[in-house]
Amino acid sequence: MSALLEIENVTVSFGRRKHAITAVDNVTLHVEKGSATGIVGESGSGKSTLMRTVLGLNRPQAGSVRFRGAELGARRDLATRRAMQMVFQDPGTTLNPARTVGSTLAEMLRVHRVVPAERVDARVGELLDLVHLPAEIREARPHRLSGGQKQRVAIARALALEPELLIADEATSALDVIVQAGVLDLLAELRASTGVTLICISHDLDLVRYLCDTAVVMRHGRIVEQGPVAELFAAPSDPYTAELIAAAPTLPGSTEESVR
Amino acid sequence: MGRYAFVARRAISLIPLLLGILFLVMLLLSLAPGDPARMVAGPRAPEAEVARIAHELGLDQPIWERYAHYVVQILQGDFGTSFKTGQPVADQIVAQLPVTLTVAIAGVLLALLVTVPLAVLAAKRPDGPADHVIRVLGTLGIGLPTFWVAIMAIRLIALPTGWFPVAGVGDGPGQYALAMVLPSVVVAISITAPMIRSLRATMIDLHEAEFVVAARTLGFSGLALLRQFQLRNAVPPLITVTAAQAGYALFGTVVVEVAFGLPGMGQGLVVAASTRDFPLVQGYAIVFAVLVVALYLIADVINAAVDPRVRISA
Amino acid sequence: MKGPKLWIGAGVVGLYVLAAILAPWIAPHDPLAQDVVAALQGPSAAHLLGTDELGRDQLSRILMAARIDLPVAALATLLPCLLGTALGVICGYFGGWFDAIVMRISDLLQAFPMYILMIVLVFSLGPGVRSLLISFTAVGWVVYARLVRAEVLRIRQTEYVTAAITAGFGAPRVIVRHVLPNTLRQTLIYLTSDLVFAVTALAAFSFLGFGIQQPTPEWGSMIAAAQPYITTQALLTVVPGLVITVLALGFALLGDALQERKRA
Repeated sequence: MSALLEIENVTVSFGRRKHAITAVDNVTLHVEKGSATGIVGESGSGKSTLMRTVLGLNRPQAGSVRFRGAELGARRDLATRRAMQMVFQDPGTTLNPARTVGSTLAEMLRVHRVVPAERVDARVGELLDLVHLPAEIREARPHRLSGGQKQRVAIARALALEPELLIADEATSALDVIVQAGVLDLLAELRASTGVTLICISHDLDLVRYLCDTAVVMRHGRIVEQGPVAELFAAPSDPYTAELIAAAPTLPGSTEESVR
Repeated sequence: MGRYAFVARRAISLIPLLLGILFLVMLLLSLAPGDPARMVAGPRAPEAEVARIAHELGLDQPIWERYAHYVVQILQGDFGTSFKTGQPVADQIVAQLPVTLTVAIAGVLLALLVTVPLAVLAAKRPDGPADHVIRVLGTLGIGLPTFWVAIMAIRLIALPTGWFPVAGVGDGPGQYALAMVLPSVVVAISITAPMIRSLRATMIDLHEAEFVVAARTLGFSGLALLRQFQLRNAVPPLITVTAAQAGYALFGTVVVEVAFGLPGMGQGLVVAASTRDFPLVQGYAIVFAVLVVALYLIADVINAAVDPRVRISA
Repeated sequence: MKGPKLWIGAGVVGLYVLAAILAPWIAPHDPLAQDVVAALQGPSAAHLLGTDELGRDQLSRILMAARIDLPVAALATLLPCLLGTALGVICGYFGGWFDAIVMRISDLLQAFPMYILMIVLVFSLGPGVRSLLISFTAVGWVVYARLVRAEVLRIRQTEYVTAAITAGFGAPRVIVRHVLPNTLRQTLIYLTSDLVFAVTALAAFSFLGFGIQQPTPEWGSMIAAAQPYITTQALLTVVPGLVITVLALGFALLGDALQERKRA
């Protein structure tokens, strides 16, 4: 059985010939259905670019991306687009300031005809429930919401299309720590309840350890190491991975410290 | 890069713009109804005569050829001949240029003289009493139609006091100078309001800028702070705004010249338009445009002289 | 100072609009009716604001002029706005050769002292409302296009637009429902200052003889006609001028109020 997402030898570069920057360098990655994969790496390692390529926001210079067994080109139909969604990093611009929360969610439902027209309002309510937001929020405009609330709406927006693949690109990086924990719990819960395949991009190793079962380490556009989370963190085979783990700050007296 | 190289580079980059302006003017004028050749020949001239004149004026050539000829002509200083007077357009324009330039420049200088202190005062304490008054005056100033202010100036100042000529430039240099005063003041009034707004906003932004706050913690205050930190940095945006307003000032002079009856380019243009004198209208339009382009060039050069960042990025 | 501005501005504009709509009914005389015998008379019971050089009732003329000045000024602002916004959106969102060409043309147009270009256009097209509107549009679109283009470029980078694209929304939907609404704030602010300009410029053009021709009543041309009589009947120039100024002020106040409010 083939994986849900198959990335084969994908290379993405920007700029022209001599000044070209290779953001993603010959990356091959398979993501199994129902799994939670964490992609870690420093800024500029190519994590976001890789995922944006999967979504069709960038065009690869080489390689292919297969989803549900079919190759994805530049033009994608609505059904394919619907099947993979992303939650972005910056809660500040993730929602259209001119629209209420309810209208943003309803638009998703309507354009893709996820539910018949009569059911849209009810469904919006269900989505807000799913992300543990109060129903009144549907009348609010983004500027009235906190960062955490906005991200929850962003998650609801992504889930509105009932995607098979949900990509969270540094979705919690801009949030306060306690709020972060809430959103992460939400993602874990949603994964369990809806069975959506999760890919989490993060520079935060703890997050990946908490949420994901597989981890992929990227550096300079290449995959340095990948494998089950527990093994990777306990016994990294690549020196870079070891460096990353060691570099993560820990509080004195915490469990991590005693493990090391 | 060196100063002269910068200026030269800027000037050269403007050449295509000037050529484009020339073409645009010619193109637009060619849309006009009415036959220029007929106009020169007169309503009763026979067809043959009209055709001959048309040929003489090059009107039977396609626009590209006329354009090319005109460019060559202009480079030799020949802007064509007026339909009405038969005199060279260039002569007329040159004769009227001083009046327009005087009023425009004096107007801009006056505006600056008023703008800077008022804007600084307003920005010192935003939302303070002075600021409110100045802002209200600013809003008022924007709404005043220039031509009306000119007429009011004539009615309320020139006529009762008799100090200023009510129309025309009078005889003699003394009268001439006096005749320039009110028009310049009116032009200044028309552009001061937006300038104050802009400079005030710049000063307020600067006041909160980190390097100014740093300077204050180091002990700078008052006039010294103003001079060394704020004003110097306020200059580039001020110059840009002034250049833009100077462009408006040029239109202000058109209106003011008509109201005061001054023999400037503005009035010349209006009269030429009303008499359908194509070469004259064309000449004026081009000269005005060139003036504005020159204005922006000067503004760029001053900016480059004051702000080293401009030079480096060029 | 904020609250009052909005109401004063809106009130003034509303008053003018009302006057313009009701003018045919509230004007005491026919604005075109000449009565040379009664020419150049000061205010009286029959003529509250006096008569002009052809004996026409000043008050009626001022009221009826509103029916021309107001809509023409409004159109002179709206048309460039629409054209400029459309061009700005296409340039900002799609870029490419279209963007390059439009930007070049706008550079060229901006180099002209705006009014001079308009005078040339009106000269070429003949006087009257149609050429005035064409002139305003041909010259005025540039600022809107640049404004909107800059906003669109900024908005294109936002995550909500990326989200819309990721969700498979087509370009028209993204532009109309996500990009454009967020450019409106800036456009609206400039629109009100443009209205101020349109009102005064329209009057100025008519004053110069390029605009609306006599005998149609128009505030600017009324001032021009009355200028020779400034010593005897100053009211004929003062009142229309005040009328223009107050309207311009109304728009200016509205603009200020909008700017302050949206900032909140």
